[in-house]
Amino acid sequence: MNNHNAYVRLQTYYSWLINSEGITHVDDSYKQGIPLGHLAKITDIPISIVHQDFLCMFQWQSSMALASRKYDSPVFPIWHELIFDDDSEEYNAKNKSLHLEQLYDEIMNGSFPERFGELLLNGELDTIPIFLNTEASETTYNLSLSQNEAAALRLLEKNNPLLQKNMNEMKHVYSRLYDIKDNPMFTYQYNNLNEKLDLINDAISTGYRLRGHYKTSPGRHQTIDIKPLKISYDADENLYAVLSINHNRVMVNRLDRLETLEENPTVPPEQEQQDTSLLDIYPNVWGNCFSEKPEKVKVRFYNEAHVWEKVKKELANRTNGKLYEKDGCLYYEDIVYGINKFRSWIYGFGRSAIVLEPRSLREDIIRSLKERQAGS
Amino acid sequence: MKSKQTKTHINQQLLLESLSQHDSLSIRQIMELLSCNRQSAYNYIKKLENNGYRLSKHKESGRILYSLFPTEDDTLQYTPLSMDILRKYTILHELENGPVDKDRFRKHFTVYTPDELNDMNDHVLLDVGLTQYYNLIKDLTKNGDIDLIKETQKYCLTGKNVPLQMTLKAMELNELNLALTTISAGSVYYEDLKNIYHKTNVLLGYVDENIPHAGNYYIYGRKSQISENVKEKLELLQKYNYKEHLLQISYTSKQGQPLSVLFATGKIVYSVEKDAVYLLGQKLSAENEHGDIQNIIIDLSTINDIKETTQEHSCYNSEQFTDIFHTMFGISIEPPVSVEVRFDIHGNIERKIRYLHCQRPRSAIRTDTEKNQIIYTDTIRGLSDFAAYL
Repeated sequence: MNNHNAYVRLQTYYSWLINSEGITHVDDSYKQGIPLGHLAKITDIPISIVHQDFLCMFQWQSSMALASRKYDSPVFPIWHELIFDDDSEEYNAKNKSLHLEQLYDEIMNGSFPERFGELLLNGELDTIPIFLNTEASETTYNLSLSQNEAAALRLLEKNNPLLQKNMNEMKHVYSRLYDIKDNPMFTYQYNNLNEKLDLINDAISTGYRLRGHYKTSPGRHQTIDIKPLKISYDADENLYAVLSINHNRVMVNRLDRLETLEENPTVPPEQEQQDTSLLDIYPNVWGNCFSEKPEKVKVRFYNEAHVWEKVKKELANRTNGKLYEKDGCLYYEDIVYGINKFRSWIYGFGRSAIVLEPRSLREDIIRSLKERQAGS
Repeated sequence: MKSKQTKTHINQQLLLESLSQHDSLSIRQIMELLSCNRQSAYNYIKKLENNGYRLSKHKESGRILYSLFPTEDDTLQYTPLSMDILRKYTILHELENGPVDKDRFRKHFTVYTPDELNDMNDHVLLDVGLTQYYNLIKDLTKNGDIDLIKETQKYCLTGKNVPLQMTLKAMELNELNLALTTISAGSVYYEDLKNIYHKTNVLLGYVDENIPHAGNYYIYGRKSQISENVKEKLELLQKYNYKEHLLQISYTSKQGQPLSVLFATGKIVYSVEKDAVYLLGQKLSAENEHGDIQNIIIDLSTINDIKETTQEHSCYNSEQFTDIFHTMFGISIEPPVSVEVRFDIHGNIERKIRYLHCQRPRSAIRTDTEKNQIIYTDTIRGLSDFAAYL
């Protein structure tokens, strides 16, 4: 969503105008509120648009003030009221010459003064902080979300119980544009995923070592002590793993099996840069199999049933391989570490994929397909 | 008293907003909109043109119609803020805590019928009367910004033109910001999550624009993201009342054939696995009206054109399509089949099956301790997808 949409602009203004030192201090350049000139700069909304918008907002404020005189209730919802920060130097300087206090009183008496509109449109009020009268006793923020952003958060909250409360509330509030069909391949369940990722990311930046309990198989655990170097993420299976190097070998620890993780304070951060060249092969690695023997592969894909589209999407991160069209077919050539995982991927294409190299993989797949046929 | 100059400015804004929202307006419509005479209406058109807006004029059914030309001047692309937008925003704000009964909703505001008590305490002030309130509600419904849920007769927000608001306490905002620092470029909806991260940074007063640890990740697997093409198609779809009216949809089949169907939308589904958006619904034809209903799936990215008809339907989010959504394994409308599969419990099998069970509301699992097996039962549409999973 962009600021061409008047509602989006309104929400943008409200999110900045709650600026208040000690409460919701979104911009520490000002104690309270934001001036229109500054608001235009930080929001990238042309100043002429900001002028017109605020003219409308003050005019409406005047109309509401007039309407409220019919009733006993407070003037309007507190978060709508625009007020000048009359403690600011800018206000006091302008007030003397422009009689702002008087003009504002006229607005709040329900009679919008032409003079105020002129001053606003001419930019004379651009330096005076304006704030929203929220009278908030607790710091609260309004985060505006487009429909796609709301859908994005719904997916994110599945792995993050801390977000679930807010997303549960939102689920009851609005009618969703579309439903989301989960990927059945996302089978890894994580405890405290974000805390672990945060710790690992910090360790990568600072050079600290981490230690924890790692589940190697059902009922069996080991203590690990690692210096994290990278995190691998498999988007097809939603699988996170932390990569480190030990004794000249890449170690892979899956985050769903990490039961505990903490900084190892007994070992100071390593100051020297570790040689991470062992990780340079990462675009060629399948299934985190960094230590397996590399094999040259060559596969031909036929152009049927969106196969090419699928192949290109799924190989987008394989930056070392060659993907090219020739004679009406799509070819993929690469050096692969983790041939078993590569084989599983090829199976997904059925007869639309023909393995040309290595011969052992080709024969393996042909045999497997024949067995399946015989079985059915 | 409003100044003449300011009233002129207000009317110009009103006219501009109306021209932005409608394909074209006649002079009569402009006169009604601005409550002015014919000459004044022409003057307002002239003023817009003098201010740099380009208007086109064409004849239709004996009337002259005016339309706004798109322009390269960025300021002209900003929909003007108006008093009605502020009033509508006030109305929408009252739905942020959840859907509200249609009849009770009016009483949230200082909008009363003549015979009701003039007791306005604890109500949200609106500077309009009953008629204008109903016009605002009608506009909001017509523009798709609020929905009236048929089953409950409650109004709820849609987020279509007005961003949804998530109210967060300071700690919750910090937690969300922290959660977003750890997302990887391989995450589905990565770009949208990045936008949210930027917004949380703004609210917290942080400068960082980029996800801080993006460089720490090696990403494998497909690049998932709802494409711009699909987002455009979703926006196109939302221009129509697909929830209640049949649509004439032209699209391209998997085999590359152009097809056109009269379609009742049952559900819109985003498949994470396929990274694509689909319409599930009923295809109608002269034969279907009296015969069997045919359910079909349309990949949103294959749609070429949509036209709304005046024929009504009641398929949207119906029990039938909700059941289809819950029982389909991938994206499928095949007849449901009851399945029972026994898995030997070893390795990661039990974890995978338990996770599958969590995703599928019609499934059940039990264990056979004697044979050390886990038994999975389900009702599935799309056996080939299930077979591929197995």
